[in-house]
This record gives sequence, C-alpha cells and structure tokens, in this order.
Amino acid sequence: MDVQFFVNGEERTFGGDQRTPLLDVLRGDFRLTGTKSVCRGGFCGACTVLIDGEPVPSCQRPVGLLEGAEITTIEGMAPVGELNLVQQAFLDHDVVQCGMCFPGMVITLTHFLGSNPMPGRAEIKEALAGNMCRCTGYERIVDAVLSICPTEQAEDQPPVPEVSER
Amino acid sequence: MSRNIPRDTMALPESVDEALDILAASDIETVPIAGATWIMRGPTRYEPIPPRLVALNRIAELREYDFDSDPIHLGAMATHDLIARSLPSGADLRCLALAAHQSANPGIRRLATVGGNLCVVGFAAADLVPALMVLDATVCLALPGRRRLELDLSEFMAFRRKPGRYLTTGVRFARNARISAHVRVPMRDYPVCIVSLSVGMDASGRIADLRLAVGAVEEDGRRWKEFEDEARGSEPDPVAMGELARKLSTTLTPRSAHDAPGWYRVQVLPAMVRRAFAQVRAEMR
Ligand SMILES: Cc1cc2nc3c(=O)[nH]c(=O)nc-3n(C[C@H](O)[C@H](O)[C@H](O)COP(=O)(O)OP(=O)(O)OC[C@H]3O[C@@H](n4cnc5c(N)ncnc54)[C@H](O)[C@@H]3O)c2cc1C
Ligand code: FES
Ligand code: FES
Repeated sequence: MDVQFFVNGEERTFGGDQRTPLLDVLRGDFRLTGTKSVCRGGFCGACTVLIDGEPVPSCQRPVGLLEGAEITTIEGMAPVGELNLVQQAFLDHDVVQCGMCFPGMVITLTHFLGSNPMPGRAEIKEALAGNMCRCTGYERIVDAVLSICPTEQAEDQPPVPEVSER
Repeated sequence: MSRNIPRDTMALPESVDEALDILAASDIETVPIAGATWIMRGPTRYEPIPPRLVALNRIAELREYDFDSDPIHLGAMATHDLIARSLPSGADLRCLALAAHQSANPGIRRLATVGGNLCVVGFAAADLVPALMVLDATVCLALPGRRRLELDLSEFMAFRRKPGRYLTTGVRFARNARISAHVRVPMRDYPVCIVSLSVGMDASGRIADLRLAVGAVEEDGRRWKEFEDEARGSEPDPVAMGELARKLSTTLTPRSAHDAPGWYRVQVLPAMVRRAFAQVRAEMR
C-alpha cells in the first residue's frame, strides 16, 4: 500500500516497505540528505525532523505510520538560500564543527524557541537532552541560542569560574 | 532499505477487535506497534524488525484519556510526554509525572507510549512500570474472542510473558493521600537503577502505608516487599532508609547487561532509596 504525506509542503508518495524508517526514505528515496543518520536508535537526535510540528527522531518512525503527516526537514526550515534565526546565530557564533548534529539541533531549538522565547541556560540544555554533539561541548550552542533570545537571561548566565590562587 | 523488499508489511486497524483479528489470523510473526521506539530500535540490538506490524495509532479507544477522573484512566497510546504534561499536580502522582518526564529524551517521550512501556518484554528499565506499581495501577486488556480483562500490574508482569495474543487497552489508578517520588540513575540511554516510592505517614510521622518499587535492577520491575515490610513503622529518615536498602539488597537478584553489571545496580540502590525518601521529606515540609 502506498503511503502519502507531505515533505516540506510538497506531497510525496512512498510505495516501498511500510516498516522503512522515515530517515531512510528521506535520505535514500527523496535525497533529502540534510537529515543525518548516526545512531539509528533514537539516542543522538541527528535525524530529528518535525512531524506534524513536533520534533522526533525519524529513525524511529516507520513510514507506514505517516499517512497524511506533514514532515519538515532541515531543508524546509527556511526558504532556499536563507537561514532561519537559529541557523544564523550558529553561523554568527561560529558554533558548527563537524556539523553532523546540527540539522537536528536546529530543528529541536527552533521548535523549542517557538514555545519558550525567553529560556534560561538550563532550559536550553534540557531541551537538547536528545541531541548529542561530540564536538562542541554544547556551551557555544547555548550561547548562540541565548544571543537571539530577548533579554531577562542575564541572571541565568553561568557564574564566571573562580581562579584559585595557589 | 526501501528497494526489493515486501510491501503491505503494516496493517492499520481501526478498532481493538480488528487488530486482534489480524494478529490471530497472521501466519507470519506479527506484532502490534504503538510508539515504535522499542521495535524500530531492534536492529541496534541485533533483532530484526518483525515481518509484519499492526499499527495501533488509528484505534480511537486506545487514545481515550481521562486525567481529571478518579480513578484516572490512560488509554494505551498515551505518550510519556502527554502524561508528563497532563497529569494533575499532586504529591500522590509525582512519581508518575517524574517517571514520564525523565525517561529517555524529549523526542522519544513524544512517541513512546504507556502501552509499549508496559508490554515490552525484555526491557527491564521501563520507567513507568515502577511508578504505576506504587500507584496500585491496574492494566486493561483485550483478549481474543472479544474478551476483556483487568489485571493488577504485578499480575500483568507475569501474564505478559505467557504466549498468546492480547492488546493492552489502558491503565487505571486511583488518587491517594500518600506522597510519592521517582529517582533513577541514567546511563547513556536507559537507566540502570530506578526507585519509585509512595508513602503515607501516621499521626506520629512514622511510615504507615508504603509502596516501593525497583526497576532496571532485576529482569522486571517489581514491588520490593522485603523492604516495605521492614520499613513500615519506622521514621521516613532518608539516611536510615538508605541503610535499610543496603541491608536488604541481598533479597534482589540483579541482572548484568551491557550497560551495567548487576553488582553496580545494587551498589547504587541505597543512594536511590535515600534520594527518594529525601524527595518525600522535602514534599512534607
Ligand atoms: C534512545 C531511547 C531511550 C529510551 N529510554 C527510556 C527510558 O529511560 N525509560 C523508559 O521507560 N523508556 C525508555 N525508552 C523507550 C522505550 O522504548 C519505551 O519506554 C517503551 O518501552 C516503548 O513504547 P512504544 O510505544 O514506543 O512501544 P513499541 O516499540 O511500539 O512496542 C514495544 C512492545 O510492546 C508491544 N506493544 C506496544 N503497545 C502495545 C499494546 N497496546 N498492547 C500490546 N502490546 C503492545 C509491541 O508489540 C512491542 O513488543 C527509550 C527509547 C529509546 C529509543
Ligand atoms: S540517528 Fe536517529 S536518533 Fe540517532
Ligand atoms: S559539531 Fe560535530 S557532533 Fe556536533
């Protein structure tokens, strides 16, 4: 049975095995390779996409469950040639290293800021609990996000580390 | 993966009875899927995805939730995220709210269901199981032949190991006057030790009514009756309760797995019991 759904606003049909993870359909069949395949076990978040507006790992979604769903991948987060606010902040703060985690980071954080426009550091970190980054150590990601949030974050900044005198 | 492989590998029934009929009629391995977070992860455990899946997402009955009633009823398709967001606030339900909010990660919590959490055999670290145990939850089941059954959760844990086809349709639990807590040791993705606690005090501040369940330590989550029996009548002092847990830890049969050896799970248990009682004490103030 064919499965029909929308990817980045475009109607798509998939006629293969309904157990296939959405991740493989996006990358292998639709050539939307911005969605990354890393752990394939719901752990790392690199494959995160929006399904009906909710960020979820696409490696955990058998495509047969997605009839009629609206899927947004990293390719659909901003018009071609433009960046959304989160992407721009990552660029401005020179956050990206190897980049494998970033499509998922952008999707998770864009969704998060939609409902939490003034988050604190701890809230941002909690929102990223399902997005692993092996390169950056997260702090610069959080800095970049805070840079695009309206104020009221000042008291939530991390304390300046004390330098012990020996 | 999508080339040269079979189509129609997923059935999409609209009712519980239709789903059970499909399961009964199948001549190949056919399993229900809810959030699919256990099934789709199979290949990482070297278990292939079963050849045929019966999706439960279109069955309205499994999506019926009544968070405001007493007892509370959760249809089997209630996700961890929905439970964490929708449970009424109250010290009695705090164990379940924390279990649902702390399990896995945000993306998985949006998918994983209470039905899947209860039904997955071979997953010892299900967070909702001990939390529902200390709430005295019952599990609602649909069986072949249009039969319905409601089992105490501890009975269900034994039932689910028996061969046979059934669907969990939901869980039910009553509000109570106890204070509850849920603590866990996360390790990469699954926790290696979980303690859920629900405790009621008498007029002198001693433990009168106690339920403590341990998850991730043994093959299945279970009420730790040995601990409950000894602790009843004591003061709910976190340090003393941690010590009691240490003394009684030989009554558990810990499992070793790739994420942690058995001895480690037992080693961290007293600290988890102490923290659970500290949560309760903080709530009492
Ligand atoms: C990276 C990662 C980390 C995780 N960490 C945790 C954690 O810390 N704590 C935690 O509790 N969980 C965790 N899980 C989630 C775990 O997979 C789920 O909690 C749950 O056990 C599966 O729910 P599901 O709806 O996705 O089930 P599915 O994968 O759909 O199904 C699981 C099993 O239950 C059966 N089943 C499902 N629903 C029913 C039903 N209604 N009736 C009969 N049988 C049914 C299926 O046939 C299957 O055998 C994690 C998952 C991932 C991927
Ligand atoms: S590839 Fe899907 S969560 Fe890692
Ligand atoms: S930048 Fe390399 S994993 Fe995040």
